[in-house]
Amino acid sequence: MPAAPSPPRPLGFGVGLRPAHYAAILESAPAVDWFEVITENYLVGGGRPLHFLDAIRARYPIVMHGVSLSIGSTAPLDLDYIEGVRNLAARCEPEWVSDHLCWTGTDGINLHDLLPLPYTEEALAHVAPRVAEVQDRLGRRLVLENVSSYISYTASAMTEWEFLAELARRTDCRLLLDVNNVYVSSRNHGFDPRAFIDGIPTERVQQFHLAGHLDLGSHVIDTHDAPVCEAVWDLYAHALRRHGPVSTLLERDDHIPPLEELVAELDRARATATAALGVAA
Amino acid sequence: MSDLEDLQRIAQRHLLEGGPLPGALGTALSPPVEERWGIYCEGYVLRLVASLATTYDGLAARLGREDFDRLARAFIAGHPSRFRSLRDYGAELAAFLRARANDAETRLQADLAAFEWHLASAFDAADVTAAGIGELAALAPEAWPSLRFRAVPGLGRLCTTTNAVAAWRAARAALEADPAAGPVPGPPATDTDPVEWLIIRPALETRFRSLPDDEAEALDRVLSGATFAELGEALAARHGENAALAAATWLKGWLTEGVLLRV
Ligand SMILES: [Fe+2]
Repeated sequence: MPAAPSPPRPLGFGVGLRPAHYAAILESAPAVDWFEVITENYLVGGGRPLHFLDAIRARYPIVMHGVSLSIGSTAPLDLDYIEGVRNLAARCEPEWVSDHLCWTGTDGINLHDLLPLPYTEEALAHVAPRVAEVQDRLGRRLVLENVSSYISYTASAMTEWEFLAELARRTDCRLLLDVNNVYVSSRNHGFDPRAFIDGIPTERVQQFHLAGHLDLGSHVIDTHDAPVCEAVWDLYAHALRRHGPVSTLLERDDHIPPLEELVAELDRARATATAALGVAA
Repeated sequence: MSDLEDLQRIAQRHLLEGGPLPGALGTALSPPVEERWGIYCEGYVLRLVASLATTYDGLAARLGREDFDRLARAFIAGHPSRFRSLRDYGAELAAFLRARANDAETRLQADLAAFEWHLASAFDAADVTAAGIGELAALAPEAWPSLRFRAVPGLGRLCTTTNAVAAWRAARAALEADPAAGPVPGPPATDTDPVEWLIIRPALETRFRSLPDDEAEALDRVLSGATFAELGEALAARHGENAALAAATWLKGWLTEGVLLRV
């Protein structure tokens, strides 16, 4: 495990790689600094997914973002899956590999949902050695993202940010701070989103996520199907002031617009960073 | 069992089967915990429905959104995902439809699902260099009788007994024009004589064609490990002294198409 104390140079401003944009990316060389790929979509034998991944990787830095590690599950780690992630990383040389602090199923079933953990000492003691094992098997640090959530557990004895910070301290992992998820969860659970952002140690923050959601008034659902809202832009500016220039990624998983629209939204992220940091990020 | 293990089992069981709400969930806020947990329950189903609608987009277009949604939910209720990637979910949909089929339309839907599953399997199967004519031409004649092959990854073989492939073509054409198309009437369902199909993806594009019955039988023999000599013997019964020629002709075709790997 390398002992570098601070995260690598920020990558700038990226968007999630989606098949609908493959051709546009290769034809128009858009002003996107990097792409994040959903790991599971490329854990395949070959064909178009790996063909386009290789072609885009030849032109842009990429980050692998997984959804099935289930690091918080009480089921045994899926070693085949981790081996697949390692092999894919060897092929496409990502800047880093991320997944979520959550569980996605147990007893061999994948619910394909990012379910939150109770924030307890028991859960910490369970998850930390699993993070360490995954990092050993991957031969690199893991980057873990805070999920958006709708429920909490009566057993929780600490805040989500205290849990994340302590997990990072115990395992030397890094964190992907999803600013939209912080906002969504803060609305759903009634906490101060800035306290979350401020509660994460800057040296652990490897990446930011930005995305849109569905605001139902009484609560908010994380849908990734809309532009980033004003409140999340404000929180993003706060996160930048708190943690400095951090690699930023715009996520869109549904109602995917033409690439130009995402590039335009990315320009707003750039402008927000320039304004918040007082320099070109 | 640890508290965490217990909690995850109970929550998962509720997501899959319903029943009393897991007691470990709490909130003092509005909306109440039932509604909050319901977001996960509905999200679970919606995600699997969306994945099936992607894999089976021709079937989804033929049925239209409402009917496909109803079908998908019935399937999902009995088929939790055991896959890390949603692209692997739903292989049993054709069998599920087949078990309920009772007229030409439902038989067509089962054929269509089987056909689309093969297309999806070919789509991102491993890239290989298939055995080609040139490589075999270089072999000494003595080597031919013991030649053995296996299928290239993602190769699909299926038999339809309806006009499902015509329905698939109509659905695809409608989806090209409007990705949200559906229900697409397409051709009325009819039962047909059995038609054998071969699906492969030699480069990036998936291809398929129908196979004459005798070619299908010969190909299946080769794919299940028969040597070239054994193929000739099997064909002798029907093709007599033309058996060797027929075998060589088909083999040449398969090698040109990129259907086989040398064992
Ligand atoms: Fe995210």
